[in-house]
Amino acid sequence: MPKVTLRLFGFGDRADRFREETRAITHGATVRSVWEELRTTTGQEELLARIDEGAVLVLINGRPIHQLEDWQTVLDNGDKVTILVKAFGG
Amino acid sequence: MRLRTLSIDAQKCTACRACELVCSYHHEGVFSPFLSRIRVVRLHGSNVPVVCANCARPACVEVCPTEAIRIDRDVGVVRIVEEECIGCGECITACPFGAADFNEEKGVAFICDLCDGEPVCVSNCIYGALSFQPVRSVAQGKRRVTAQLRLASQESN
Amino acid sequence: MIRNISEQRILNVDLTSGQTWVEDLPREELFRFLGGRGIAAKILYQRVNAGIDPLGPENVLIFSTGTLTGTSAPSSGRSSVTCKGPATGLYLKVSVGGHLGAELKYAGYDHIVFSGASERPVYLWIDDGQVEIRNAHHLWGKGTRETDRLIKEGVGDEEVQTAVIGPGGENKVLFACIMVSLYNSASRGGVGAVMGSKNLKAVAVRGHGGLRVAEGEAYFDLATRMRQELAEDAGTESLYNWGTSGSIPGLNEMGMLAAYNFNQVTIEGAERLSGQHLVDEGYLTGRESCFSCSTACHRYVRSKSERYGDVNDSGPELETVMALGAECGIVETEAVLKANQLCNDYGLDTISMGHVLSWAMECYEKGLLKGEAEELDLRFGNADAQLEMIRRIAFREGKLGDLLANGTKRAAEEVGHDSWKWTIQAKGLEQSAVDTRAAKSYALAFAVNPRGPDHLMTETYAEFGFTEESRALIRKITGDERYANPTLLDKRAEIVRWHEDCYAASEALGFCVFTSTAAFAVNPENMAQLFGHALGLEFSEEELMLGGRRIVTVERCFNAREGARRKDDHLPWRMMNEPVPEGPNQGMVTDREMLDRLLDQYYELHGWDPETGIPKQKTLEALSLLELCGDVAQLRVGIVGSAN
Repeated sequence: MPKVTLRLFGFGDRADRFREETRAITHGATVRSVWEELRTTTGQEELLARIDEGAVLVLINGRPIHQLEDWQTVLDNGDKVTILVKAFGG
Repeated sequence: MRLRTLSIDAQKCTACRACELVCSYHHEGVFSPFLSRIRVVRLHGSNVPVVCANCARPACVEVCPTEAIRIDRDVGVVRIVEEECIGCGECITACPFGAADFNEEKGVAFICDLCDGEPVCVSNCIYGALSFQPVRSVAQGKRRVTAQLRLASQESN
Repeated sequence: MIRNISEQRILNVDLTSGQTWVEDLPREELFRFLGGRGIAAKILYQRVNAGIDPLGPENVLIFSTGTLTGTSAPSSGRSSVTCKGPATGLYLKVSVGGHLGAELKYAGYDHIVFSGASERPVYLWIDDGQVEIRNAHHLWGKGTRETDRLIKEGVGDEEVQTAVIGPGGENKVLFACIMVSLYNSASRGGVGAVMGSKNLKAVAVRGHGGLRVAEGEAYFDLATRMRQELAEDAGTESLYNWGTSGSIPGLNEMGMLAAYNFNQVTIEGAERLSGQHLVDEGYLTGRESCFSCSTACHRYVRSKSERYGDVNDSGPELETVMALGAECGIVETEAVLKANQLCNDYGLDTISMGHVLSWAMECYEKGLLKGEAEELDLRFGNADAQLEMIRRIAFREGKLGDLLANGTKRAAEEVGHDSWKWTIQAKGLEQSAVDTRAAKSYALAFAVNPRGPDHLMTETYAEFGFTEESRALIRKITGDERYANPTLLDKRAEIVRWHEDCYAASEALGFCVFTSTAAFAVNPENMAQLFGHALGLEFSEEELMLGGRRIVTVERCFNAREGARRKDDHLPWRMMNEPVPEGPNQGMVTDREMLDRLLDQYYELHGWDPETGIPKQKTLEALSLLELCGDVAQLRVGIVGSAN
């Protein structure tokens, strides 16, 4: 089964908390399907389960998904999927 | 006498001073912090809005020689009747909070009138530092915070 | 004094003669140049002749408030400081927040123009209508915080607003800043050195007046609506929560976090530089607004450590943690907070300071710096050496401190070899830590920026398309959302020009550009409406943006008159010649050919001559600038002045 590395920022009880996990995915899994699965397997008390989709930035191997196929982007084995709360800084 | 009060959470104040601007505009038609009934005092990293406390026994009312400052029990505020104010400044000296100030152009004192029950400073405070609520709710809210703190300290012991 | 917002007053202060006088600004000038940055650009153009020494008495130093500063318009409290810049020898405008602008407005002035130079240290004390040039002997040599305290003590008023230089400005460090309202910095290009060259230690203002707008109700209602919309904007929420450095984790993940003098684009331990970390580790003690601001991105922080002592100061911005932190290979939170505090107190621009030191570190590691650098072991990551060098630079102490106080361009001329290739500068200004290899609108905007390559004249954040609102803006500018992609070359000129216009207009009115080009609740349409309501006239979005372009064009003309040409519109060598070494943008570079393509499109769009980059006569005519700037249209055929 293909696997992806999830890199999650700021979804624990602290904004600076980082956690990384490896997750098996089905063939043809999209960003959307992994996101949905992640949400349902996360406790409701976590920000991840509640946050509005528009408020997160998803990167695949460092590239924002809106420059790819957005939420429909199909994931490959070994992809690094980063999910962060959007933040602007100038 | 008081129905509702202007409650201040200084922790949330960022000193944007929008309250001063909307207040002076609402009352005087101009933008000037010096004509605002509410003022933000900045103390090196901490910011504290200061406004009339609407005392039950207001010192300003007691000292006014022309009885131009009156208690309006319907709204729960003290009011300065501008036509009767002689601009002596006794109320400014008497107020323990510095909440009364002087309009030099008009030659009269001014003080918060809670915008007749709908304070514009509150509706324009986007940081949630100002709220307008019944005195009883303020006290109840504070009691609940106190209780939670006590409980937490007991649990950690 | 209560006055109408349309009746602008300019306070002139001649420091040579000690004379001060007030003049009224003709209303039609306000309509043409919108205020603030625009009026300052016009005054600079008229009063500074080409070729003068930026650090001589012929330079002027202009403090300008935004036209709407002092009103309830959200985030409208910013001021500009404008002069001929000492780092570049070109136009220099620096924008700054805090409460000084509003205070100056209430004192009865919209602009202060300093000319000449005082023989002895002085400061300017403005107490409403009373203006006094005072002896600053007792303030000279003092840090910015101490100076602010002493001034307040001296005039007996804690609520005075100040603009102050530290030892950096006194010693004419070419990247000295001016600290405003204690905690805000007018940072770039050496404005503080210009102030120091005039022996002007500080400006202190107290004003008790007010402002009247022409159409009160309409103005007030629109301003209130804008404030609510801003408060609900997701962009401002993250700025409130984490400040500008909240984007550190994202930048690191995207391989856009400049580190080790741009030799890397990620750094191990980056999270310790983040705004999130400041919150979670308890460094954050408060969030602070500039005057009338709905964002409150400014921070207060406190830290105690044995190694770096106590820090109790305003918080570091994103560019500060990148320049003083990652670029110097330092991710230790306390060290960066300390470095930031030192720069603030000495009055030094953190962006240039970081890049001066990261360049020196690279030179040292490559064996080009000996002596003091060896004694300090000035390698990447050595925070103690960094802190010591900040002090030496502020006082121009030792050979190395004196050398680095002139910025990387001049220092590289001394150090020689290939060291100029590692200077992260163009036109003499150190670039901000944005990777201009991987974002092409940024690259173009930085290359043509009249004050040198940084993001604070034109930041084209929307090109990344991170939010629905940014993609909508790109659609509005280019007609198609797919141009919200920073790697494309097409449509970059359009995107840059729109942002230039919007920046110039925002800053002329006093708005923070975060609210008009990162969050979008302040936009050209409602800015134009507010401006119209304030002055009592119909004013359209197109007129506002045209006003912005007029400002940008005057600034361009100023540089053209100083001899700047197309060849000067470039990026730091590394951005043009060394591809991104790692990560998703690996291999990307903005080389000469790409930049030329971008410049061709951009000059054509502007109506500037493609050979020289000088605005054409017909362009000036269309902007009704012939009278003011007509002399530069002659430059192309070599009648006046010469290309350097």
